[in-house]
Amino acid sequence: MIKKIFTSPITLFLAMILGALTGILGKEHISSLSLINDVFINFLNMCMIPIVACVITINLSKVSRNKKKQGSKGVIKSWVLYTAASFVLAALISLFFSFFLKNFLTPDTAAKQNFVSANSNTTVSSLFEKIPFYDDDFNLSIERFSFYDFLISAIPNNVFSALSSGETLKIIFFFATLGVMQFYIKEESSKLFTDLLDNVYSSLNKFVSYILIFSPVSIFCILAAQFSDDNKINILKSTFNLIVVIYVIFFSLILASFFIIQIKTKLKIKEHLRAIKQIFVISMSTRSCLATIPTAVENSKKYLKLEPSVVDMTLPLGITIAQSGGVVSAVMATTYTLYIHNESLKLDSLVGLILGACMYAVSFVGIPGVIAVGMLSSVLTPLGLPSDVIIMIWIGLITVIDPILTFQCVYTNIAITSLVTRKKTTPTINSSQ
Amino acid sequence: MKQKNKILVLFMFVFLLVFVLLKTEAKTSSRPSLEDDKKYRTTFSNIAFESDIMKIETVEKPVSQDIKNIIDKGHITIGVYGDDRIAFFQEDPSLPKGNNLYGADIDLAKKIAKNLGVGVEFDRTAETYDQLVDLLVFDRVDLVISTFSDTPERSKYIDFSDPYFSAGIGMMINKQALVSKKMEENPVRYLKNNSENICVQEGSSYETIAKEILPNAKFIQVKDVKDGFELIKNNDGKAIAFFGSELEFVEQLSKSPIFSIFTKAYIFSDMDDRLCIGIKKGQNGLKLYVNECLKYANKPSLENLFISYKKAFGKK
Repeated sequence: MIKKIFTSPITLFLAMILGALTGILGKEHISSLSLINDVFINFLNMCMIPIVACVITINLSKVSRNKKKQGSKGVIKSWVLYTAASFVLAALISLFFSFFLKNFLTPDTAAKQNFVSANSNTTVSSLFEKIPFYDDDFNLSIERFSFYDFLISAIPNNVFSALSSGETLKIIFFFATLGVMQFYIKEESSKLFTDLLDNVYSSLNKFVSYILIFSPVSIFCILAAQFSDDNKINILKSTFNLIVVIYVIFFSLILASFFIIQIKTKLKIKEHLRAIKQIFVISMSTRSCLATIPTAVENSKKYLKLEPSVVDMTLPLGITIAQSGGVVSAVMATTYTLYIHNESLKLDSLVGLILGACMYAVSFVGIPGVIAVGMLSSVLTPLGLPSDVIIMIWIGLITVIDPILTFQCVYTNIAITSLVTRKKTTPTINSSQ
Repeated sequence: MKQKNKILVLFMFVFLLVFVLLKTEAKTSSRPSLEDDKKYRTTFSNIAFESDIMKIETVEKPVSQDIKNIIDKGHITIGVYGDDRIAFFQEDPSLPKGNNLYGADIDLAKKIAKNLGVGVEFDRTAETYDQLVDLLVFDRVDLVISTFSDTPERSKYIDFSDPYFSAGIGMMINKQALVSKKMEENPVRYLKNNSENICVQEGSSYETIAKEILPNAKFIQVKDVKDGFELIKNNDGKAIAFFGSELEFVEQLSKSPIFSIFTKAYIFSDMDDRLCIGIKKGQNGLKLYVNECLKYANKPSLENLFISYKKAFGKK
């Protein structure tokens, strides 16, 4: 009963409202609240990477042993095509809204003033970059992110150091490789290994289901901290129009996913909503796509009645590396930067922007929020746009955008899985549940 | 005989005693006040008094002719640039004209005048910094105290005091140009080797310096610093950089913080702009005197100036 109350969307919504109000009205007492959120996030992070590693390894080992190998290849091919289409759709919808709502989005002088006064403790030395005039060999260190660096960095040269430093992408790559290689070893020893992983997965999943009872507390604390910071509130006020447009774009994508799932599954709306309710709560409270994987996989099989083998194969992978919400972030960040500089997007930059946004969405897998925002420069720099101001703005927006972005990423991947699914099956219930 | 000797010794003893007593009294008696020496203010004077024993007369210490001219005039005329420079010299509109200037340079000028015991007048007819040189050369002013940089060109015509402030020299560059022309790692290297439009203030020392060190650049002269900043704000090809002083950048960024959205400021670590007091050539006495005054003067710092700018523009 307590679990049901605490994991209800209404409780979550109330926690968000209370958190915002507490932040605005009780600024002096906020510092201790952020500690509660930190503990919650640490507990989640403790479990997430092992859960994702186990899920990917187990499912890929099942796939690799699938006798209908031709079918598996077909599924993977469809999945890649639909995922690419979802990225392009996300980019086009974002461009559509940002183009037609240009006047609504363009920040005024007061908003720009708030962007720069967010750093009110500026000292005179921080206003300038000091460089020598007479030393031609001098170079400032500029952080650049590229897709090439991303590809190279995906392969761990030491999996133990990747595990100890929590480099998610490298860990996923390693366990994905391990999962695929199960096909090439004896079935008995492979089964032993996957059973062990299944045990780890089930235990941690149970633990996470208990932690999630405290998700309203966490969301209360994080919003209180956000709204207690005057600088962040100024940023939010100045970018209110941008936040509204981003939410409209995400709701459009969620609506599109809803219709796709509805058409493919032909379920009653009530059952459909029941399937996504828990996913919605976890997305909004944890802001972590990885945290939603177990519930998304489970509910897709149990309530949406999608083909289990396809769900096992595509959904964990899709939620991990195909986050179309990143495309929306990249496109909106770019167009907003253009509007700050009173410029418009040129047609010849359009293709570059869509490609850059897609690469960005794939590149920030497993990277902490603030660093992922910093990678926006990989989209802006090739278009000749400075990224420092938009990165500062986006860091201020993360807390507000991340919940809906997470839910949209997961829900779109479920929609893609439903498109890839070939037939309906009777639901299989995981014994650990 | 013995009695006569006794009387003689006694008389000489009394005479000696009286002599010593009189001399001591003369030292402690009231002296003529220094007020009498108002015109020629020497540091000390010998006291004269008349006596049968000796006469000592007042000795007036001579001052250099350039200082004497100012003292005779009764006031010192300071050349100051026509436009206000926040925190250095600016007008307070609430005060009557003629006595409404304030700032670090104004304080320095008043200090020098006070030490000399004269009044101070300010001449703000110069519309360019080159015109301040002319004011000195043609004796329209005694000194120039006006965020005045010492440059080789100016040194041909006038002399400079020791520097009282050192600020950086640099460039403010349009951010979009930085990214699109791929010069983020070292914009100086790019601008040295490419022919780009760079703004400079007409008649300023930075125009001379920029033309010397960036031979490939095309220079766009602007009358006012704020016109230069407006030109570089948009990435429309008119100009991509403004060459100037750290002080100008601090003032601009304090006045209009949103400028930092569009531009980035770089200061050259191996170059600096020294602000000095301009003195007519040959006035070595005045120059030495000014340098001595500067040793003990309250000199401005960049951090304090930044705070002043923020207060000044925050009020507006």
